[in-house]
Amino acid sequence: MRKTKLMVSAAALSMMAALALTGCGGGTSESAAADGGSAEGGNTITVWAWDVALKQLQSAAEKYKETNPDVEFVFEEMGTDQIYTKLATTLSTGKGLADVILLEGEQVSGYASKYPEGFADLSDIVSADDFLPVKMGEVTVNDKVVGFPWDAGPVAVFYRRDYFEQAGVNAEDIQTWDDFIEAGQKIMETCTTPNGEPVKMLPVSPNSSGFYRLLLTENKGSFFDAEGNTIVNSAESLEAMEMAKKIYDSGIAYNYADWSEYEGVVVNETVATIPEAVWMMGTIKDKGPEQSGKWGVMALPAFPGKEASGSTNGGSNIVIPAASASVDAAKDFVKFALTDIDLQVEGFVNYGLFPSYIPSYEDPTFSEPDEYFGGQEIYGIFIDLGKTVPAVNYTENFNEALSAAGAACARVYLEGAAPSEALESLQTDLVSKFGK
Amino acid sequence: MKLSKKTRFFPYAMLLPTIVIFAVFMIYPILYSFYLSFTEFTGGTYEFVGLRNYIELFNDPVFYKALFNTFFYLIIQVPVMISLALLLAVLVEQKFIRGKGFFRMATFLPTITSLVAYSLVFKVLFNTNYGLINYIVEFFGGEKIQWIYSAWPARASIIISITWRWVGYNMIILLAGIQAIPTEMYESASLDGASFWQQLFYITIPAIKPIILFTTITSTIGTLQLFDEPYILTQGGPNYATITLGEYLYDNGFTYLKFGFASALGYVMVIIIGLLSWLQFRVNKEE
Repeated sequence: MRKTKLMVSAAALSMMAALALTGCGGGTSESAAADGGSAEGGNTITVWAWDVALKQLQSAAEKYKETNPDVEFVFEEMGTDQIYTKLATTLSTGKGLADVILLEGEQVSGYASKYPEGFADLSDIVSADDFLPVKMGEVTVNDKVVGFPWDAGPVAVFYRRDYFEQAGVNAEDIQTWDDFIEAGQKIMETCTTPNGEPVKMLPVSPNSSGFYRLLLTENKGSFFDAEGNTIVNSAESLEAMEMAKKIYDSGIAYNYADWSEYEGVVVNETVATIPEAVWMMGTIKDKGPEQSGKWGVMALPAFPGKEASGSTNGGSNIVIPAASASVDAAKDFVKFALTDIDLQVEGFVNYGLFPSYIPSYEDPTFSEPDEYFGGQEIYGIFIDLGKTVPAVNYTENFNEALSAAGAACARVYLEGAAPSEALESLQTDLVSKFGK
Repeated sequence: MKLSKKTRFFPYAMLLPTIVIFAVFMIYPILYSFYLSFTEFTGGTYEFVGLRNYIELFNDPVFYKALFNTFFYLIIQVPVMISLALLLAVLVEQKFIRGKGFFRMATFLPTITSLVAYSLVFKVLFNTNYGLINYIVEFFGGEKIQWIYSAWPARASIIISITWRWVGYNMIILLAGIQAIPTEMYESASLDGASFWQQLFYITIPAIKPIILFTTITSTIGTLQLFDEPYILTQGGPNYATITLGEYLYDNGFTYLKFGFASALGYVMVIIIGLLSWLQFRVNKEE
């Protein structure tokens, strides 16, 4: 009995000590950080970014320090999910935020509308005419420029020249999606993969809205109009969904569920085409080095009876939290890193980060042929397509609409729902959730 | 004997750290999220909206899908898992089994694997095109099962995964109960000619009933809070066929930034879990 009592009080004491220690520790480090911040006059720039973008920003920082030796950089590598989770918690308190944060293109408007005072106004360093319109749309929220546009995701069709040749299909003859289906059926009949299965025409993830959204953007439609009203039951949207269903039902699509399976279609040579944004180029080269010379790039097929147009997927932008102690230094650095043409070329060549800064397209690199793609001058295709994509209003409700649209697509592809019915019920659901 | 003021104060001083930690990390969030459930986060501030989140929740078709899925997992998975755990626990305790330690460890091992890691492994196993499970199905002449692309197989894949992960945990708890049963009872039962099943139903199960109740309640709570498996295996799809209340709560809070709505959903979950636990206690008492 005595022993138990002793143990309990010992435990309580050690807990108190631990609490006191953590209390002290927290206090010291916080005040140290505050002191450090003011002493250096806001010259430390903390960066949150992922993957290759982080590497590119590091090399930009080195170049920047040649002319600005007194600026210090702290780079923290974080995945997209980590950034979003941390952003959601730190924006509420205004503490613990980085000075330069990378966000995916579609995500800027969500955070900027939920936290209208959260990000620094970048209108003075971003001149709208210098960037692709679709990227300006991503960073403009309530008429304020809250992000700096970085890499763009113009979409074209990557295709396997060898499969096309085997099946007697000509890339130039594929003008519309109907031609595309016809070509796909020919290829399925004639070609087989190294594993002995028929070659499918394209990969589609039936649980997500990815392919429908690609067609929707090409058909000049979007989830929301300029005022943020839900318009998923528009004529453009219906055409896109009907075309998506037609392509899927024709049996030429290969199902995939996640990123590793998506990469797998390159490795296993399962498909003859991949309609995807320019950044897919890096994955194709990386996963299929021995397929060099077999790939080509062609423009997106058009909707029958309509003019050809472009689409977009992904890319990223940079935001600067308004609460940052080094807003001015961060602005200066970001402007340098994303408008210095040599750096844009470097980021594109090394990491496939396709710049949205239009003046950088003047650089000869963007008109050079690519050996991997059979010596084709492919970048011009992406630049021309990229310029045709209009700005899209994403709104704060984008993520929720995206997930609901994914469910609607699963109904259409997998459960045989009629596109018109699926879109009408999606419209009703979203309007009742968003109130508009 | 009257204690001096100092002596009377002492226990409270000792309890203080626990109370402070409990208050900061448990009571405050519980109360604050209750307040949040009546607000909507918009334009950087929390606006009081009364019962709107709850009304919206009860008009939300996805909420009902999540509720259905969660209860489907609960009704199918918990009884299957507890019976399996009980059977394994009894088998491992049989006299004729050699290497009991090995079997105990082998059944328990899944429990110590990380939720995310094992979910990823099952995702590969259930892959439609090149997964091991479909390979076996095809080997025995079956058709490829669309594990991720159709509703019922997707739900089945989640039930199979969580059963694999948690059966060992419940087995160990039940095993502890079984080992506490005096062996004389079994010996006299054998002398009276009781079969294996009679011993199971008339000795083992009645003796460890409180422990079975405990595992049922913890498994019920665990299933109601299910998150990792559907999040990784199926992302809640296809068409919300596998989404759980936990995953829907996460999506609303951290992906859609609707903290008020997510808090309301959290409180509805609390009420459901509370009711179910109360029900299980009642059923057990009446028997």
